[in-house]
Amino acid sequence: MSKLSLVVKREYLERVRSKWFLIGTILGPLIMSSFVLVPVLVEKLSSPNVSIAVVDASGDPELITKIEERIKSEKTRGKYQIEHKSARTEEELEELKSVLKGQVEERKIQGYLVITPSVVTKGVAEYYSKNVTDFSTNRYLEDVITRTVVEKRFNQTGLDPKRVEELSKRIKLTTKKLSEDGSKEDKGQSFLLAISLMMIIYMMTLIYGITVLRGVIEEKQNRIVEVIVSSISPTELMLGKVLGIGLVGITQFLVWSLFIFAIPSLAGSMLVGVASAIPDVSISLMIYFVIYFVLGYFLYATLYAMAGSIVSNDQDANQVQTPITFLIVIPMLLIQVVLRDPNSTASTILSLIPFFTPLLMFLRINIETPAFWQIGLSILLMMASIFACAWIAGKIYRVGILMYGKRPSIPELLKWLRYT
Amino acid sequence: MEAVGLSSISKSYGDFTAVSNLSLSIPKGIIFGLLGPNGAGKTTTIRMIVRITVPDEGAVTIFSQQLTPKMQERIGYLPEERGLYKKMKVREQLLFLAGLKSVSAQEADKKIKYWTERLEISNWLEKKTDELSKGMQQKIQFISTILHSPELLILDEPFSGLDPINANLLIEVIQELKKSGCTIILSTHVMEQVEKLCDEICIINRSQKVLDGNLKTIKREFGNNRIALAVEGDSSFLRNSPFVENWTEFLHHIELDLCEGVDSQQLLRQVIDSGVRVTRFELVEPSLNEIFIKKVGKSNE
Repeated sequence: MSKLSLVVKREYLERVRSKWFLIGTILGPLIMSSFVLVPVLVEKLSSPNVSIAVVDASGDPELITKIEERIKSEKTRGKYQIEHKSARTEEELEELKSVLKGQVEERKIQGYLVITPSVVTKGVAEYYSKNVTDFSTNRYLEDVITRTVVEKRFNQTGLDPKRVEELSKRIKLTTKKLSEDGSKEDKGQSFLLAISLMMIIYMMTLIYGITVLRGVIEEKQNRIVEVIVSSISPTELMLGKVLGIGLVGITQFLVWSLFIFAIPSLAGSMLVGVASAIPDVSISLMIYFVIYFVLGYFLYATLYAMAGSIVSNDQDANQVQTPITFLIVIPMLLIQVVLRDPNSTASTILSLIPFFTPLLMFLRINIETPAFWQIGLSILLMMASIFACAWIAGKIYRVGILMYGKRPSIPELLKWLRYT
Repeated sequence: MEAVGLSSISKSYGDFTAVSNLSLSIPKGIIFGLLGPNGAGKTTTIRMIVRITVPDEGAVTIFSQQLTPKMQERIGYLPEERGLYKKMKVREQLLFLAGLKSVSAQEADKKIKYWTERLEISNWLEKKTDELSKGMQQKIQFISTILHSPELLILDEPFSGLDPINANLLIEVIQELKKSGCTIILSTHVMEQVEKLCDEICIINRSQKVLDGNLKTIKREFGNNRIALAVEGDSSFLRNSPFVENWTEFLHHIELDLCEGVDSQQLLRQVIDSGVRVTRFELVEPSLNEIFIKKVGKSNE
C-alpha cells in the first residue's frame, strides 16, 4: 500500500470508528427528519378532543345551529365537540359566562364562544379560553364563523351564496419548472431540495474543514508529526489528511442519503403527504452537488490545514480559523441577491468567485441554470484556486508543523514561503 | 565506509542561523555522539540528516549517496519532542508507522512481536496509547523507530523519562543494534551515557562545530596535564609550586592541572623531595562533562 493511502486510511478509520461520527451520522438524519415528522405526529396525537361551549346570545338560533354544524361536520373529523348554551338576557349571559369560566378552570371545556347579534352587523365574536395561543383552533373558529355569517349576509341581500361562491372562486396558480427534459409541475419542492443540498455543502465544508484544522493541531500537539515527516513529505501528510477526512464526509453523506430516501418510503404509508414532498432528484443535480461539494471541501480544507499548521494551541486556532470561516459564511448572506435575480451581473460575478462558487453557483444552477460556459469557468477557477491554495498551504504547512510557540505574524509567514 | 557525510551545510531561518558551515563524517557501524548546549543547532542538523528540512547550502549524503525520499526508509529517527496518536491502539500505531517505512504488515507483525517482548511491553499492544505511562510510551516510540531495521538510527535524548532499569535495557538494545551493523547517532545531555556508549563525538555550539573526533583521542588530548595526587603528610606546599595551575581538594586526594610545558615527572620529583610519602600519583583523563563545559564555555567567551 502506498504511504499516502496509509495516511488516508488512518485518518478515515480513526474518525469513522469514533463515537462522535456514529452519533452525528445517526442523529443528523433523525433531527432532519424530525423537522418533517414531528409536527405531523404532534398534530395527530395532541388533544384529540377539544370541547367548546357555544353560547347563543344572538337570538338567531338558525345561525348558531349552522355554525355548530359546520364546526362538527367539516374536515376536523370530530376533533371539536360542541356544548350548546343559550342566554336571552344580559344577566343570563353574565351568569352563564361565570359558570363556563368555572368549567374552563376545571378543564371540562377548553373554552367558550360567545356569539351576539353584533356578529352579523359588526363582524365580531368572542372566544374565551385559558389558552389563546392555540392558533389552529382560533383560526378555525374564525374561519367557520366568517363563512356562516357571510352566507347569512348574502341571503339577507337576496344573493345565492352558492352562486356567489362559484363566481368568486379563486384562481389557482400552478408553477411549472422549465428544464431540458420538459416542464414539470413543481410546488417548490425542488427549490427546497436545492436549498437543503446547498445547506449540506455549507455545513459539511465547515464541519469537515474544522476537523482538518483540529487534526493538524492534534498532530502538532502530540508531537507525532516530526516522526511522520521523517518518513513522508509534509505535502503527502497534508494531502492524506485532507483526503481521509473528505472521505469521512462523503461516507456520512451517503448514510444520510440512505436515510432521506428510506425514511419517507418507510413512513410513507403512515404519513400520506410527506413522501410526495420529496421531489424527483435529477441526476444532473446530484452530479453538480458532488462536483461543488468536493471542490469546495478541497479549497477550504487546504486553507484550514494551513491555519492549523501555524498555531500550536486552541486559542490561537480560533483566531486563525475565523477569516476562513468568514469566507464560508459570506455566501450564505448573499443568497438573497442570487434569489432575487440569479442572472444579474452581481449574481454572475459573485458566483464566479471561487470561495463563493460552491454555494452560489450551485444555487444558481438550481434556480435558473446559467450558461454552460459560466459553470465551466466556475469549475476551472475553483480548480486553479485549489492548486494555488494547496501550493501556498503546502509551503506554510511544511514549516509550520515543526514550529512551536508564538503564532507567526503575516510578514513571518511570507518569509516561510521562501524557505527551501 | 561513511554512514553520514555533511559537507559544509548551512541552514538559517530568517535572520537566525541554525547551522553554519558544518562538515562531519560519521563512519559506518559506530555510535556517534552529537552534543551541544540547548539551541546549538543539533535538532536542525538532525532534521537535515533525516531530510525533514533541506540545507540552504552544502550537501548531505547517507551511505555515500544523495539523500532521496527513498533513502528515508533506511533511517530511523526518534525526535526529542515526540508523541503518539493518543486514541490509537499501540499495535495499529506501530503498524502504521512501520507502513510509512514500507514494511509489509506481515513483516511488521513479526518485528512488533519480537521488540515488544524484548522491551517487556507486549502486554500493552491492544491498549490505547493514552492508557500507557510515559515510560511505556517512550519504549513504544523507540520500537517504532527500529521496526524497519534501519541502517542509520538517530536517537535524540532517548533516555529521558526512563527509569534506571529501563534505561539500562535500552542501552543493551542500542549496543545490540550496533553489533548488528547499525550506525547510531546519539544526541543527549547526559554525558555519562555518551562516555559509556559513543565511539566518536562532535560538539556543536552556536551553530558551529567546536570539536569532533574519536572520544578516546579527545580525552587523551585533554587529559595530559591533570594529575590526581594523594600524600601522607602536609601537601600545602603544592599551592606555591611553580608547576601547578589549578587545584581542587577532594576528600582523599587532590586534583591539579600542570602549567603548560611542565612534565609530570618534574612535579613528582618536587613532591618526593619535599619529604611527604606519595600514596597515589596518577594522570587522569578529564570527564566528557568537563571537556564539554570547557569547549562550550570557551567558544561563548
